[in-house]
Amino acid sequence: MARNDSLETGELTDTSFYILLSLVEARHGYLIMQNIEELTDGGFSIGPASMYTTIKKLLSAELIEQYGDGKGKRKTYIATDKGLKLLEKDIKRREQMIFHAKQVLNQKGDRLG
Amino acid sequence: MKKRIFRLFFAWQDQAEEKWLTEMAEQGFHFSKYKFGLYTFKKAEAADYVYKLDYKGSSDQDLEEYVTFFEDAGWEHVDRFHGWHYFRKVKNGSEEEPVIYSDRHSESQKYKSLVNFLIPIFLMTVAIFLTIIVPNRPNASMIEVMKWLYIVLISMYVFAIVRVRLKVRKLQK
Repeated sequence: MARNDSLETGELTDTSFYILLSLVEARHGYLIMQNIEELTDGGFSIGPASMYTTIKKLLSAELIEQYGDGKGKRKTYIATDKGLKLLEKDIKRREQMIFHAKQVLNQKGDRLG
Repeated sequence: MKKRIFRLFFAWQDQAEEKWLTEMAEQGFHFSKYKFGLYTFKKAEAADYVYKLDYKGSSDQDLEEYVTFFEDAGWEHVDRFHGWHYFRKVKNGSEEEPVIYSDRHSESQKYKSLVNFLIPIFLMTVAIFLTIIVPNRPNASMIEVMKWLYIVLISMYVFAIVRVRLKVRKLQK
């Protein structure tokens, strides 16, 4: 696969992050969309093509799996153990980023203040 | 009233095609069908539709699920031609232009699977080109190799097409 493929490097794109986060509980596509919009107060929304593509990607990487018999037009998915581990790892990575950013900005603030 | 227009767009001109369909809708011609460069429009009231094209390279096994993702987000599946799917949505004046891809990463997948479709066609074209050029050379063994290569390729294709069609028939029962 391509080198810029974020799943291969163990990093989640923002879209994968929010989908995986929503699939801590079993949900189908429409509920994932609703959950993300509620969670982010409409600040982050995922287009249907991005939703479809990302879900297929997470499935083939075994980060999520189908939940239940999968009959009907809306399939339900849930995060796998592998998916939950990667989510936790990515949360730490993002926390670190915020930590670094705050450090730099606070120092700058101290100098200015 | 129906209006048919013949127009060709290349594989990389999907955004130009979306724009054209959107402009046609502004004039009251609503896209309904596409086949081999032939667009069918239905004349009705002008509407603020936004058209989007998606390329789905994977099998139709999950087509219903795929279309439902779009319908749940308010998109109407208008038509499809091979891997290309045409969607439209009414645009509310105040709203931002609706998108079907909200991030670059997943959008790149669309074009990746399109390239995966174009590569075998390209290779076939190269093979045809080589067979036209090769006979002019006095290298008989090369022709012999090509001959066998073709026999294998043709058998594989016949086999593949028959098998896939059997699957279709089975599913349509």
